[in-house]
Amino acid sequence: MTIVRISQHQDGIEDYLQTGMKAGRAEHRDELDVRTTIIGNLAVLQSANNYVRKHKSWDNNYWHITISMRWKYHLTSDNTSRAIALDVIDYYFHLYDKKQLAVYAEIHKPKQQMAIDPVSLEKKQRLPHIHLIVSKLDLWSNNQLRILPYTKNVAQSFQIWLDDKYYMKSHYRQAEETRDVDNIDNALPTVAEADMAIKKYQRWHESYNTLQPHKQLYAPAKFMKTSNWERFAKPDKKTLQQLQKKSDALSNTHWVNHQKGILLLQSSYTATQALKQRLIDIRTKKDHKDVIKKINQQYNMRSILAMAAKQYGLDRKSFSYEQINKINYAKDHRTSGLVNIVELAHKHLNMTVFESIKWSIGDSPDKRWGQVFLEQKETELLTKTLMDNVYEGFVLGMK
Amino acid sequence: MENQQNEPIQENVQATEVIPAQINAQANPSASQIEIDRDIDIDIEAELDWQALQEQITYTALDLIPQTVIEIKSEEEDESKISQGRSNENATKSKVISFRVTAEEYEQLHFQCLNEYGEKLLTVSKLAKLTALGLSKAKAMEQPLERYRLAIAAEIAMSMTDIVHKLDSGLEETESETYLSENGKIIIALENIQKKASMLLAPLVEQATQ
Repeated sequence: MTIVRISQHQDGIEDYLQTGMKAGRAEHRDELDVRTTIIGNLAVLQSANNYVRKHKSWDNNYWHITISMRWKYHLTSDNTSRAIALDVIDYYFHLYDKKQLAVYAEIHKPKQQMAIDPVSLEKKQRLPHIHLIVSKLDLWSNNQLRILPYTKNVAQSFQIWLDDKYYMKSHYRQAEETRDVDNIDNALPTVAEADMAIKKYQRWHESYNTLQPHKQLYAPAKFMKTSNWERFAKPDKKTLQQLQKKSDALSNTHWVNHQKGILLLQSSYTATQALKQRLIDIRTKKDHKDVIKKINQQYNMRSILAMAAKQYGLDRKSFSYEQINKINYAKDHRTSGLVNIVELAHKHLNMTVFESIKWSIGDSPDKRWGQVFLEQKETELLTKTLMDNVYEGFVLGMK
Repeated sequence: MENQQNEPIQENVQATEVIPAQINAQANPSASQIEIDRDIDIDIEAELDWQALQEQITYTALDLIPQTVIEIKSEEEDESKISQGRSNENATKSKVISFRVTAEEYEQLHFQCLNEYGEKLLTVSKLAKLTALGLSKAKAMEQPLERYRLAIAAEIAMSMTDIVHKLDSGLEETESETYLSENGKIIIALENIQKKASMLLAPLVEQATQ
């Protein structure tokens, strides 16, 4: 079940994504969530928004789309979340090629598990959600993007279609089950009907918004043929001097500064980061499977659950614990899912596998092997980053 | 306290001396003119009289205040002006210049601010300002490189997302060492491309519109 909300704004999102501070909230975002970039590059979105602010005077500069899922689907992989976000982009911006959009999306997975509902003042489970931001700038034509306008029936059809595609139960269907099924007016469309309704509406939208390819001056393939580009491709003496001057200035000053600042940002907030982290987790699991097995056998799940509840607000009442083949497991009654100790930290508290191992071992004095492992690994991390270590395992190890 | 003591002195001076002084100053020049030219036509006399009235020296209350008192007052005024000036220094730094042009001239100026597709690249006032400041070659220029660089950077970012998405989907099917190793190599290559591509977002030297 996915719920999609859309709003438009002038500024603020880059600050929030970069600094993590939000008006009216005391906690830093990093205290509450683990963030994973799934689409695009934050620096590109920032540049597009800056460009719009500098050269355009639009009422709003970007759309902010949030996609959230029920707890039942909180273990949805980054890959599926990315696919959902890409489908949302395809739906709203069906007139465009994705390459002509400045898009950025990241998933926020809850680190702190509970939040107090501002209306009912009750404790509620925090849910993973996706922030999808699309700049209003059409990068190929320099005009404002034309989003598919909101219509209740079509939006509902889209959510039904999306839920069906990813094997999730739609909240519309759930609501329908509680209604009088004989009431035909309230009947929801089937998936095929929903698909048809979406396509019909998109065709209608397209018929009134035919894009004019001759205006797409900045489409990379097109740009090369324009007089603008020719000015640079076959420069006269003066243009050549200007380009040389710019190039020198860029290499001497700007590039150096850029490397110091934005490159750091680049490596952190790009789509490759999610895949990189996934590889690191797989590698860590493979490298330290003996340690993970020992943790799962020797540590007490009951005390681990208590520790998670105390430190991260885990909903302790939703979990019971059991032992199968000498391995300790926790069972989440809401999803009936079984997880061992390291998986509990990794999947429910959204830690990396190495962080999960470290957190599970803790500072228990009676498990000497755990302390030795951590001391050894921590020393290794001081001289070499975990990522470098993992790369060596993958790349050099295979040679 | 000093100010409070001085104020009554000013009031006394004004009350006793202002009115007679003004009457005297007005009476003397016109009377002397009349004595010299008695035979001149009455109209000319009236005209001269009027001129004299225009040219006459008139005294205000300030002229009659003792010099010491004026000095103290002007010093106080200067001080208050300086302190006000400091706080408003930035606010009053820029000046407004406005001028009128004909509709035809405005059209001409406006036309200079558009590119070949009618898109506004510069405001008319900005163009006028640059021209008036002696930058006689002021001309609206596009920043096609800036837009193009952004379009390329966005396309690279989206293409990388597509690659990552495909690799990630593959990881759901297999976690074999070979596949992981290949993925590791691809990520290193992608990050290297990304580092190069980030140059596209580095700010260019600010291009002046001249």
